[in-house]
Amino acid sequence: MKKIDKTKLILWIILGIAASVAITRFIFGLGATTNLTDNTPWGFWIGFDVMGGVALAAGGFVIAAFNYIFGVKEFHSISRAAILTAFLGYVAEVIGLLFDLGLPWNIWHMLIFWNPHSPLFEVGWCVMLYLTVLFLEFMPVVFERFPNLSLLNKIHKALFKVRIPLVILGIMLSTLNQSSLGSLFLAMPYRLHP
Amino acid sequence: MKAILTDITKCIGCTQCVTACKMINNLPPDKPREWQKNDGLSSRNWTSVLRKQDFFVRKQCRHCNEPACAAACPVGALHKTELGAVVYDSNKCLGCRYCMMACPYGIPRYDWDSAVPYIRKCILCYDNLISGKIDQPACTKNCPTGATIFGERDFLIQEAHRRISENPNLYSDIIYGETEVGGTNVLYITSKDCPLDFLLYYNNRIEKGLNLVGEPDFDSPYPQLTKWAMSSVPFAFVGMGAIMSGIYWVVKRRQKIEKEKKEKENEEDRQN
Repeated sequence: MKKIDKTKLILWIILGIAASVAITRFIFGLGATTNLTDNTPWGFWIGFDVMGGVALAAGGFVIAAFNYIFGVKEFHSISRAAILTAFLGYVAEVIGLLFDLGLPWNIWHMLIFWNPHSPLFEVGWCVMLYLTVLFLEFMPVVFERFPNLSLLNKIHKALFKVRIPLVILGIMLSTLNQSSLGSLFLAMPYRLHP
Repeated sequence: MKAILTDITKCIGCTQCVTACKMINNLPPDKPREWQKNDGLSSRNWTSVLRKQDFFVRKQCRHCNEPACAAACPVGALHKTELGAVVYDSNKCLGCRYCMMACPYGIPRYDWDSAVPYIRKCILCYDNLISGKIDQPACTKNCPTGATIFGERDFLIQEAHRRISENPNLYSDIIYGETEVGGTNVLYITSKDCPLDFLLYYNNRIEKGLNLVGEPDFDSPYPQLTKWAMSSVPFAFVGMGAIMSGIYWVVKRRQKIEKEKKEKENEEDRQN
């Protein structure tokens, strides 16, 4: 067996375990699959996945800022990879949270029921908007593969025109997102250690 | 605003309030599960009676004047009503459990054993009071000794002061909930021998020897903790955009000037 196959096998096993846990969660609830209690209703993964995953995505906006705003051309070659990493980081965060939320099919409620006082409301909106911005920033890479499709070319040109506002919007949104993740814990000083 | 006053010295621990609460809210029987706290509250027990030495302390949602849970909820599923109750709209909830994290009393509980879980807590019998079906919550109505009573908040605070001044040797000076976390609609007066500081979550931590970050301000409402940060969000957003646009403009201009300079030099070289 080649080495790469072994790695794949291990990944498939992890995927299988995770899938069975996910199915259990949607049949028997969070109590059966997590060790969450009324005392500690948020799991370790809130810190690990949300904070860590989003921090990983910080590379996307820092590199984009260096490349497009500060004009540091040395980083041009890695800017696309950084944006893709950020995009995947955010997608991983959102998918991970869908299993953690009690009623994930209600996640769109943030669009219509507003409570601007809540730090989590800010986090939710930043994630949704920044995910869209990252998607638009990365789309040109896909469009370049299909130079013959006129519609895609038109979108590509339109996106190219607004790329600087998009990058600036991305920086604004990620600044808010990264800071609002800290604001989350302002509401519970007694839950922080020490 | 309506409120509840619980007098610890009068409670005999009969748990009639617990039974009445379960009856009126159609709560199924509950068995102890590993995810419950040891205070008797759960998603199926919205009030409970704790034993503290020779006293009984009834625990329930405090219905804060400025509730931390309502400020924390991203979709506004929890809100303070004009009646005084903090109520929950399960149609809005998305299950993030931020309210449970934010509550200074650790009151909201979760349906951990359900595939469609909701937040559960005392709602001061809000639906039944509004529809006029009952004139006071089931717990206060069924209390045999009048240890827990329902009424206007101002009146109950007067009544509490009256009881304390009439019996200063028995009662502690503090009315729990009068100013605590900005005032609550469930008030307690208690004996000198049974302080109720343990009801506040952070006091539990201090008892365990864990410190707080910063100085705790016991009387300020909890939403104040995040208000300053949340109100500066628009400025941070617009400010960041302005700074980035400004830097972009400066960098572009410098590049342009440099380019023109180089072209000029090139031209001069050619002329020479």
